Amino acid sequence: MDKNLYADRVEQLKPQLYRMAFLHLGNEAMALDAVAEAVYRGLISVKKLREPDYFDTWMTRILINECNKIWRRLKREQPLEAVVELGEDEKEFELLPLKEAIRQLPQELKEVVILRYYADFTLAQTAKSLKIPQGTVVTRQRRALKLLRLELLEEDQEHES
Amino acid sequence: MNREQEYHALKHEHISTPLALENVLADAQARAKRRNFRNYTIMPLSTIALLFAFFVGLVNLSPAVATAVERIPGLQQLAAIVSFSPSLTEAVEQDFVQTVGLEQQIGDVTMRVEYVVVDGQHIHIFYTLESAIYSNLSISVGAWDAENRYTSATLMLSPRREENDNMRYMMFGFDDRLPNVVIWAGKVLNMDSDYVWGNVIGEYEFILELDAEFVQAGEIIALDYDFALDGQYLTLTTIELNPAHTRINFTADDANTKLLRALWFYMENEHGERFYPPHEKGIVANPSTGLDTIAVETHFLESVFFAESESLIMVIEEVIWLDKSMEYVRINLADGTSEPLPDGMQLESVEQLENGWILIFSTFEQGEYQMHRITYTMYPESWNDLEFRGILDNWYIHETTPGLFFSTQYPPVDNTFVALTPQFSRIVRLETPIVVQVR
Repeated sequence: MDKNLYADRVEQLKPQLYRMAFLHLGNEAMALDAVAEAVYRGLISVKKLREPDYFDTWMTRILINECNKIWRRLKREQPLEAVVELGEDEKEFELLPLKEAIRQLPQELKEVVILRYYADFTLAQTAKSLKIPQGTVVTRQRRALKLLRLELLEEDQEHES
Repeated sequence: MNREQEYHALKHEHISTPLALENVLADAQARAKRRNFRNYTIMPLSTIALLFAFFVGLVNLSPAVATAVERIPGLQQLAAIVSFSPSLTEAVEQDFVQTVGLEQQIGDVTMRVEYVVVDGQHIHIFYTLESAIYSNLSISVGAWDAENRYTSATLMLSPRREENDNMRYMMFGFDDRLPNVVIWAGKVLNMDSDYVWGNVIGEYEFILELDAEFVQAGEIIALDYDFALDGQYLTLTTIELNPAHTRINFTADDANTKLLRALWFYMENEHGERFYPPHEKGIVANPSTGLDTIAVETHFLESVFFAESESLIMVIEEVIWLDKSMEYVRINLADGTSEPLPDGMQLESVEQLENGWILIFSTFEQGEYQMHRITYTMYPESWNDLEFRGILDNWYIHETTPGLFFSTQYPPVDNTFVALTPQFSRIVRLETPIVVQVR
């Protein structure tokens, strides 16, 4: 993919990237940092992308990596109680507003939820973005939805499969 | 509101995008431009020494190589090519070579991949180009895995002008260990019509299915060994024992005030055999890939793979740093002053001429590193003005007693400041080498 096409595609995609980053990190400044870094990383790696059709999933993967980096940094820099991730006790998540509950999900579950249910990625796109098998996506989304108590989405998922 | 209602509300919630989002692409483009420039300046350190090894390599077949040549038809040229590298030579001696034998017709050119040597994250490709029409052929190259992930960079290719039919060589490095399938693709070029870029004759694409035995060969030793060096903190994370090279990976503490540019070290086994960097007197290392830094986190040594070593130690004798505060050193052309410069280096004078500026620096002689010392480059401080007027690598060395002076001429600039990008700022020879038990 050449850099002109990259620029066009990024312009179209960046609002969606920002929304994903915002949901992931819960903070405007951090979400903006993640998008800025992802756009830069994408630009310097764009020649690696041979198939423009994969642009969205490729770019999303870069963004998720950047969000994860920021999240890890946050955990290092802030007192533990400020950013602590909950365990997998359903009751703990049930008490939280949905947005906060998603943010507190373990990293690998959070990524799947954001891609599948907010970015509306298909199972295949999600698997490709996260570089994991589709079966793993299904397992993780089941675990996530169970923690979040989102039964309706379970139906959606089964409908798709 | 139940959970499902909450979900639908959240999904359709309007999240306003900040104004700053408008600038992210432009900012990224400006940053990428700076990075490209930096990469250009890094190259002499990271690759020239490797390329240099080609020129000094002599064809000198050992008896073992000669035996391998007899076993694998047509291997004679390959053995000649790999003689520059003890590790690759050893791999050939040990028959660690996969015969490929794939051929494609590209216009009037026949391209044939003869062999590959699979080497952890590296793949060494041996190929030929034949043509009755063109006498000066070359190729452009790229390599991907089956999922279209691109390799990090071309690390090495034969610098010699090859005659048609002769075996040619190139090596790619991937970010991770090699996949089972490597797609090698690019263009065949006629260099007679355009000796710089060549004219495209056609495109090639080879799908190289690698032998699992070779792909899986090697060993990764996880160490996570923390140590202090010259007041900085490093972690030796892993050592990868690959068939034709050893890869040593470090990470640096974020709080360090200096960036690691190179380590001088070797490994030794219980038989007293020592394994050095591929080019003994050079700095052979990989800049951290994909990062916006010139810190070097991966170093290479000759391979210990076939040496049957029960015990291995690593001995670090010397380190080369770049102070983080000296990644860009500003020089004020108006008053002839500069921000702090690397150890032993001083700005002696700044003089404006009709067609630019002359800057003279002095430095102490640094022995074998002298040539690296002068790979400083300069650019106008404002990147917006950068469509820049040539990278300044025309340094003039004036050897005097007791020091070494060098100068450069700079074209006229509108800016008061220019910036210098030193490759390193401090070389420390350790009084007591650091010894790490690897195995």
